[in-house]
Amino acid sequence: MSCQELYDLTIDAFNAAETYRCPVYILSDAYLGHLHEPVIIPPAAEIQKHVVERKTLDKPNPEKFSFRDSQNNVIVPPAPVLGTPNYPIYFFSQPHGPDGIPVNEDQVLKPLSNLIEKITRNVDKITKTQSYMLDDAEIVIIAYGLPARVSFRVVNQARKEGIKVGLFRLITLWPFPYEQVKKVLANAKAVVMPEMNFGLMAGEVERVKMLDIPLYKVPKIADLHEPDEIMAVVKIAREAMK
Amino acid sequence: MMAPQINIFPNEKPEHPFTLLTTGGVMTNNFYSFFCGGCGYGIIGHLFNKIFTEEKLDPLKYPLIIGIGCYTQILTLLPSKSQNICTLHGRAPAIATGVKLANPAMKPIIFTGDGDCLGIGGNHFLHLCRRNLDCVVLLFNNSIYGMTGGQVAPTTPAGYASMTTLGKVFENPMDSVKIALAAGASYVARTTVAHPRTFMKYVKTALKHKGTSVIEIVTPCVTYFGRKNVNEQGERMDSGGILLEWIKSHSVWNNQAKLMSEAELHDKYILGEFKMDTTTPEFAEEYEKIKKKAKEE
Repeated sequence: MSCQELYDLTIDAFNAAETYRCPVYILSDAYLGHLHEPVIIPPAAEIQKHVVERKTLDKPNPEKFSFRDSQNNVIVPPAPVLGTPNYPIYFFSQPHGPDGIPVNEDQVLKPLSNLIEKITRNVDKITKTQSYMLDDAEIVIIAYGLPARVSFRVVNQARKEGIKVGLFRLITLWPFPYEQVKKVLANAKAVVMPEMNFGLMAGEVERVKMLDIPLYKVPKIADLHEPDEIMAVVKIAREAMK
Repeated sequence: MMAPQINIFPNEKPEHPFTLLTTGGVMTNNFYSFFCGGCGYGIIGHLFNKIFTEEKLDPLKYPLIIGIGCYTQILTLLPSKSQNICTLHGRAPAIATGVKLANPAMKPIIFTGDGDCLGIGGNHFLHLCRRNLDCVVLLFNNSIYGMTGGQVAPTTPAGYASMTTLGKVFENPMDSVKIALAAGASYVARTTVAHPRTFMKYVKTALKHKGTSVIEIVTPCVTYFGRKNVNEQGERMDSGGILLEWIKSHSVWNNQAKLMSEAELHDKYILGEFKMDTTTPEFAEEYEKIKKKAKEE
C-alpha cells in the first residue's frame, strides 16, 4: 500500500518463503512503482533479529525426509543443499518423491496433500490483515493494495457524515483468511469492495459470506479510484439498507 | 546418494565398460536408454561420461542442469554419481545462475536443446551469455522439436520439411553461435556428433575456461527430421547412418567457410571455435567482490 510497507513486506516474504519452503509473490502495481515516498530503513542489526534462518538437511535425504513429526503433524522438512551428498541424484521440477523421481505413485501423490496442508494448517500464522473502525461498522469496505489507501479517506469522510463504515484491509491475499472475514462480516449489513479489476477477491468474499447481505463491487481498470467514487457506492449501500 | 536398483536384464552382461558408470547402467546392470535408434543423444551421453571420467570431475562441484526436450532422457546415460536437476522448460540458464551465485565453487553444466534454449528460453540464454557466468552450455541442435512430435523449430533450415509445415519451411533459421557471440559469451564453438574427438576437445576446453562457454552440437533426429527430408541423392534420411552422412556433408570448418559465398553456406553448419576470450570479467567473481565490499561498509 505504501513504499514503506513494500520494504517491510519484502523481509516478511523472504521469512515466509524460508519457513514454509514455498514461493512467495509480492504483488506490487504500476502506481506503487511510480510512487516517491520516504522509507525508513532500520539498522542491519534490527532487521537481523527478524530474519528466519534456513534449515538444511544434514543426512542423506530418504533417511531423514518426512512431512510428519512423531505426533503425525505436518511439518516443513529441511531443504537439501546442492553440492552436498544429501542431495538426491535427480531433482525434477515436476511433483516428485523424496528421491527426486516423479514415478512412484505412493511417494508422489501422498506428499502432495502435505504440501497443501502445510499452508492450510498455518493460515492464521501466514495471513496479515488490518482492521480500521470495524467495531460498530454497518458497512464494511474490504480492500487490498492501493484501493485500500483510498478507502481510509472514504471511512474518515463517511464517519464525519455519520455513516458507520469500517475498513478491513487484506495485506496478504493467499491463503485467503476465510475465518477472519466471516467474523468481520458477522454484524455487517453491506460489503463494498473497491478493486482494480472486475472483482477477483469479491468472488472469494462471496464464498465466505453465507449471509444474505449485499456485496457492492467497485471495479476500476487502468486508473485509481477517486474517494468520491467509493463514497457514492457506500451511499447507495446505505440507501438500500433503509 | 546411489541410484535405485532395478535389475531388468539379469542374464545379460554390459557390452561396454562405460555402461557401468552411467546411472542407467548402475540401475539395471546393463545398457539403459530411451532414445530412438539413430539418435545422436546416445553418442553425447557416452562422450560426456568419458569426459567426466577422464577429467576426474567432482560430481558435487559440477551439477548437471538439464532442460526439457528429448535429451531429458539422457539422465540415464549421465555419470551415476552426478547431481542432476531437471528444470522448467527453457529455464536451465536461470537455475544455473542461482546455483553458481549460491556456491561460486560450483561450475554448472547446462544440457539444453534448440527449442529449449533458443525457442522458449531465448531470453534467459541471452542474459546468461551477457553476464558471462562461469558455466558450460551444451546446446543440442537437432533442427526440429523432437519430443513433441516434429514441429518446426527455430533452427529448422529453410527449404526443409517438418511435421507441421505444408511443403517446405520458409522461415529463416536461427544461428545460435551468432547469437551467443553477439550476446557476449566468452567461449563459443560448434561441432557435431559425427566429430566426437572435436566434441571432447571443445568440452574439455570449456571446462577449463572461466566464463560462459557455449558449445552447439548438431545431432541427427532420425524419427522426425530425417523421415520428412531427403538428401542430395533423393534418399529419405530415416536411418542414423544416412543422416550422420548428411550432417557431415553439410558441415564446413570455419577457416574454409571464410572462402565460401553466402549462397554456398546456405543450410551448412560452420564448425570450429569462434571465440576464446579470457579477459572479460566473470559474473560470479564480480558479484563476490561486490558482496565483500557491501559487508565491509
